[in-house]
Amino acid sequence: MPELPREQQLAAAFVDLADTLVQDFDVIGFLHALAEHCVALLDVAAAGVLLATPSGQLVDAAASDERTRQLELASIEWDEGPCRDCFRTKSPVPNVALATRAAEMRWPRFAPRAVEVGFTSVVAAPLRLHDHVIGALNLFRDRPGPLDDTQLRLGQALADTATIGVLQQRAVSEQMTFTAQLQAALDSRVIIEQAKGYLAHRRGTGVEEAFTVMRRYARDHQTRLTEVARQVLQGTADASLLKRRDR
Amino acid sequence: MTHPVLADYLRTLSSHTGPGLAPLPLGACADMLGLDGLGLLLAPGESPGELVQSFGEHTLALEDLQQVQGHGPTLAAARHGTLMLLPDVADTATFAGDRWPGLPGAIEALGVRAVFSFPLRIGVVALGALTGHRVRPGPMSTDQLTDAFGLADTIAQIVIATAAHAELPGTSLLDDPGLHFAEVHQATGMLAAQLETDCDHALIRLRGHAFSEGRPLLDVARDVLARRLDLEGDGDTG
Repeated sequence: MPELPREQQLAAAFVDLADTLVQDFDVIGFLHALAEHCVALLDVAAAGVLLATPSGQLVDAAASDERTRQLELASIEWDEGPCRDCFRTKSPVPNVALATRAAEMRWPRFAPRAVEVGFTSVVAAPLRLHDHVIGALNLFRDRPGPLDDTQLRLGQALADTATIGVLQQRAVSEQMTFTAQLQAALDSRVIIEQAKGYLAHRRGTGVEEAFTVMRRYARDHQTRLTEVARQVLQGTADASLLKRRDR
Repeated sequence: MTHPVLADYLRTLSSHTGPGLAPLPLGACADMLGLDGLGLLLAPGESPGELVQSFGEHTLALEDLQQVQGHGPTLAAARHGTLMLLPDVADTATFAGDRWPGLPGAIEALGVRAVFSFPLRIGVVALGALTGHRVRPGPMSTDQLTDAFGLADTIAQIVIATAAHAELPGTSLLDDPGLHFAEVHQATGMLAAQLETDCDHALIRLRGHAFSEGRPLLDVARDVLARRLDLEGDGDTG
């Protein structure tokens, strides 16, 4: 990517982060891309992302490199660190120099580990849309001095775009589930109608009478009507159901 | 903006206590859109599509015709999410004749001159289509089109909300006769038993017969159910 002018890199990053409505969407892969865009576009050494479930548990991490991912995973386990604070308070964590007494007081395990890994400072931005927070983004520097404000705002903009992408994808996949339920409901109605006709022929009766027989069988055997209908059509139904009407 | 007809309906929905969903006011909606009939086809996921609510004397025949021919504006809107506006089916200069040979003439023979199909979609999720028709040709006005888009969106939301909340999702969307093509499915099952084949194949035979005889699918289905029609020696038509 360094060959591209900066404006084009930026545009490409935003387009990439909006592109979530694909068949095989993988949320961790997507957040990994967010971390990589941050490192490419901002003056930071590494980026890490923590993701929460819809019920609010922080569960998984993605990062621009493996050491940062390990650090983020450890921070979930320790229940401390900038991402966790940012997620809980739903607001950004401004620049914190890591090799300080204050940082160590705040994050007794996270801060020393981050220094050990080679980082000098960190900021965190929430993955937030309105009051809905789905995770948080950490930006790490390995050189002296804080991240400047313009860069921080750009980082937040990337995080915002990614958040909309993830929420949109979640909404769609929920609707896919409802659509599947609707399809199953319609299919079962169709199967019941087909089985009525099938039974009517096998038993030599009318369609309504066949339906009565099928319903009674379902009730007597405590089986769902749709299941009985399916058995009728697949030829696996009880022989007593299929025999011609006795007279 | 929600049209008054829909606003009224949404109010009845929130105070509706009976089982299932209050029937959609398709008659009032047709009036609002300047149409003579409206039909709601549900085709979620891969399902072939079921007419579940219908208003107007030609609606059933219009959908039947598309079932027999296996294509048409309703199915295109439902499957591909494309808007289908046919302001005059007798106009041979439009795409309809090339795309669906024989269909525009058959629609005109029903006494229908204009057909408009609106996809029911939420984002990329396809749920079905809302198809309206008029016995007189002519385009819908911009206001009518705007209302129709709003109606299709509202119905899509109702459908998805019903599927999400109903104990028996989907069934509560069916109006009184339930599936309008229930007899077609019954005849399919009967034929499958007669021919000792599966329902998919039986339905193809049923459609093939309707197509080759130029008859509505529902009529052929009723003949099968009344044992007036024997397709056993019919061979593979269509």
